[in-house]
Amino acid sequence: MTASTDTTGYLQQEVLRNARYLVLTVDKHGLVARQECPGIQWRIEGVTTGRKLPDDLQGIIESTNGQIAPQLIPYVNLQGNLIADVHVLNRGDDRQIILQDVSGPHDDKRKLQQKAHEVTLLLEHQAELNRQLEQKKREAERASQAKSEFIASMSHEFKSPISSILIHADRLRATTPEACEPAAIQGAAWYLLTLVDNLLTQARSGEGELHLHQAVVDVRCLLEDLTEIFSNQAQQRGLQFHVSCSGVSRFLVTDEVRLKQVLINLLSNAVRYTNQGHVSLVCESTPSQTRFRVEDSGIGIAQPDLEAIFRPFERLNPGASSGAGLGLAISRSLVEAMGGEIQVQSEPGKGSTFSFELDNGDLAGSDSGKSLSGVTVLLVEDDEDLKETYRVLLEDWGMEVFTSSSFLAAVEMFRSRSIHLVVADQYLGDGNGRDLLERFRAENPAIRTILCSGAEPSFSGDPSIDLLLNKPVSAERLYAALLHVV
Amino acid sequence: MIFSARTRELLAEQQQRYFRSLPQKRAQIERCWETIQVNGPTSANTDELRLHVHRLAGSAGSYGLGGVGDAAKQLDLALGSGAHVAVDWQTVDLTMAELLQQFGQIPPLGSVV
Repeated sequence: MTASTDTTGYLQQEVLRNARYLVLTVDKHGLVARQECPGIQWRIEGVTTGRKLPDDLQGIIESTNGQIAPQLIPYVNLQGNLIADVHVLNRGDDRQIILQDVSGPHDDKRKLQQKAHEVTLLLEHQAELNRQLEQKKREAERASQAKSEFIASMSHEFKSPISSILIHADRLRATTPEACEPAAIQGAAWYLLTLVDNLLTQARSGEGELHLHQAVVDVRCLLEDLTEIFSNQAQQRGLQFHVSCSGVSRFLVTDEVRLKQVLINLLSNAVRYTNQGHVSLVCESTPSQTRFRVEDSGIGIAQPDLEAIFRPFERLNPGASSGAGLGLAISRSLVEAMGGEIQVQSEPGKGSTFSFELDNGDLAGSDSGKSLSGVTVLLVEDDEDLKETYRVLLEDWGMEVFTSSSFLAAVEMFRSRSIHLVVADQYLGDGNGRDLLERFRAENPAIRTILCSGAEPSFSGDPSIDLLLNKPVSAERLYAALLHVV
Repeated sequence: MIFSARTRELLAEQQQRYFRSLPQKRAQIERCWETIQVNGPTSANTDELRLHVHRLAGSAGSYGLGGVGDAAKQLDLALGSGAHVAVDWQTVDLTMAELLQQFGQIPPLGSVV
């Protein structure tokens, strides 16, 4: 015997010793002539020496009739919940039936199959849930998009006719300066415009859709616009209207539309609640911050009400004044969103002062060591006059400038050059500047972007746009914008 | 902020070029307006008018022509700039008249900063 034979024989003995085998010898009459258990002793119910096999086993044996080679019938269910592999061997006239108990492995296998089936069901269920979730998400996004579009559409639907009213009233005032009706019409129209803005802001913020657009704001121009709006309204009520601006910084980076909305709200309230005296708008800037203050000599507010006035739809003495009670609530939200905080000082009969401070943003010039020299910029503008003017300025400030008049040409240029900054107009002949910047940001997350627009943005804050530059753009504001984003 | 002397020259040239283009810009707008008045407003002729007015609104102020720019902006708004809203043609008529009046009041080039 070889060593391997010894080993094989040893293993065979070990396997037999630890397994349950029943070896049956069945004679040509179909009777069990002999039973042997080479390993662990066991018996099968219904198998008795000298008798025929149980019907289930008998059927299995008969299925192998005529087969000469040994036959294996696996996983046969026997009485007593036994599972056995059945081996059938021919021994001359006799048949040798070897039954191997595989209940344990079979049970394990069955359990494994069961588990696998359960896991499959779970995975299918999860996949279905994911599909449903994706569908719900798409539906929610569509609904949100539809709502945003509706709000934007309503904004224009309301504001366009109100703008028409203002324009016509302005012409009337110019042609009949002695008449008081045009100023009254303008006052009512501005009130409606403010109300619409506040309602739409409330609608957007309620859905978490209020996003700010960072823009370089020319404070002096803003104050001029507000003077034009409120000087007439104040005059109508016999009030003096003062505007003053002092300090070193003319620009600040914030959402210009929202800042104007806050100041309009505060000034509207000041005019409405002041019966005699004055309304003042004061702006003071330092290199890092700009402070806005609206003062009036109006009816004032009692100390216990100073917090209540900022709650939405809260109106003190609703019968004595008009308004939806939204202006201060929205103004507070907007100022906080812009990084400031509205403060109020007031005393009944002695007027009120509302104030807030905003950071100017990173507009430092050469003092901070910031420089535009060597920065590569792609300028996308389809107005040839503006494109050339901007190019002259940008090159004077040391930038390397590439220009393009169209969406497609800009895409090609962006891919073929190393660009640090893109300045694009929103309305291009063959596309939208906003889409262009979104595309560039997706291709290169480090790219800096400025979008130039002549109209109030109809979209919510877009993370692919670092700064909005409202047209017309002065050289000073362009310079400030570039320093901010670079 | 300091511009180099050469840049100041170039910017002055830019301003001159823009001023020289104003009659053409005015003619484009007037032509579009006349087409709309004669043939009635269509999507195509209204879009063309919007394009010229929108460009003027976005550029005039950059060259010291605040009056023209503001009037163009008013007209741009009346035309429903970028928005799908019904156009109030009466207001367009009024703001167009204001814009054309502003064109007529453009001061001589040397007096504009």
